[in-house]
Amino acid sequence: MHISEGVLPGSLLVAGWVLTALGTYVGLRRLDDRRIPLAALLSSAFFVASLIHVPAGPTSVHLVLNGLAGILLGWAVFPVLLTALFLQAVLFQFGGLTVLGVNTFNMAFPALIAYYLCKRLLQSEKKFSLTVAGVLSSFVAIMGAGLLVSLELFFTGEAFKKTAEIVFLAHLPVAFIEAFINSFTLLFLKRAVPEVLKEAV
Amino acid sequence: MFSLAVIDPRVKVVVLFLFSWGIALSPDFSTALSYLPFVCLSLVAAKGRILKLLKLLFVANTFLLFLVVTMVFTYESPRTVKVGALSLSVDGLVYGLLLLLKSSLILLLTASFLSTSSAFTVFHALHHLRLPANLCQILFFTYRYVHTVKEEYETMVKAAKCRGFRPENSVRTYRTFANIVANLLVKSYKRADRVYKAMLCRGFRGTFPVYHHFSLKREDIIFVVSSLFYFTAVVLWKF
Repeated sequence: MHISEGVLPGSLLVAGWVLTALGTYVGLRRLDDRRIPLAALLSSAFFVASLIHVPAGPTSVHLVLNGLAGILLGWAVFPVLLTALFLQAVLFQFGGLTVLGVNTFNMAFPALIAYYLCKRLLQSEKKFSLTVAGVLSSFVAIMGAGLLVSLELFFTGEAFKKTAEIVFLAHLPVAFIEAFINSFTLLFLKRAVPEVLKEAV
Repeated sequence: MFSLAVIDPRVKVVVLFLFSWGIALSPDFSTALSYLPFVCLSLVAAKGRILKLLKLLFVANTFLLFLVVTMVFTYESPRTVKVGALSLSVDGLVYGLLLLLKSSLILLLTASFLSTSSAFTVFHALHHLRLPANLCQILFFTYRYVHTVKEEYETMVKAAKCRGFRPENSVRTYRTFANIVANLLVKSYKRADRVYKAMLCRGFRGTFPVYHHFSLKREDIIFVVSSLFYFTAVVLWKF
């Protein structure tokens, strides 16, 4: 969930930008010229994936797939998600320029944790390991993002206490659905283009 | 008549950035409202269609509307109004309206500043403002290919629907969407490879040569000086 402009206090906005800038710096350092078009195309792909609405009970949710992005990109997930969120801010006005730092960090940092947790699992030949990687990356990345958003709202003020709780719980159904999506996607990639999963690590 | 479209995009990005922070950090209504005339002037200068902008505002503010509603119902503040079994928080409402105002001001300002330049010019301006070169390239390519990837996605969904796929709450649906996502990724990997090879053929050395350069004109300087003057006036007045 993107936080809107004007909600968070200055200290959090600046902290978000500093952390995102650091992550982006490391991500760009690890990205050689050869992989720049790839990073851009994956950024477009994740941008488009976030437009996919999947049925969830009586309503529908849109995919986030930051866990999957983390697994495939490692540290490069920072510049890639920064780009995708910047385009969303410019094209659809979701979020905005001052909160872009916070919003990127919320998505990219849990994705990076998912990357380190799932690194080993992707090397395995067993279907079971890939399924575990899919489920793990979904829950770590989505619930991690939900936790960060809630914490930020919580520290912003007394008034947001209940909102923070609701926001955190609202991430649960998304995490469940993406657990399926991530696992099936990883299994597909293993069958169709196994080198992609090797290259990621 | 003055138009934002003729202003140097570098200047626009800097002024937009400054004002976004100024509005985002406004502590109360009077500060936030003192930016209103500037936002209105930019809207006029952008010559955008007001209705279209308002519609955009409504969609973009859904997160905030949700925030305001939950705050009104859950904030345990000193001033509350009892309506039947519910207690509505007046402070929650006031606070929520302030957030809504700030967010709307920034959105309108962003829309009027950025809609008057093409996306590529904005990226180009960011490049001149010392954004790292490879980040700029990622931006360029992402913007270039986002429509292509979206078309690919639409084709795949159409194909799935032709085969009788109907989204519902089932593992089968999730598997189908996962296959579509995976296919998008595979196509993106292959396309990235082709793009890179095509660029190598054209002698790509890690940077884009720039043929068109920006130069500050008289209008740009007038614009930036008056904007800065306005901004300082608001900050000093509050200080």
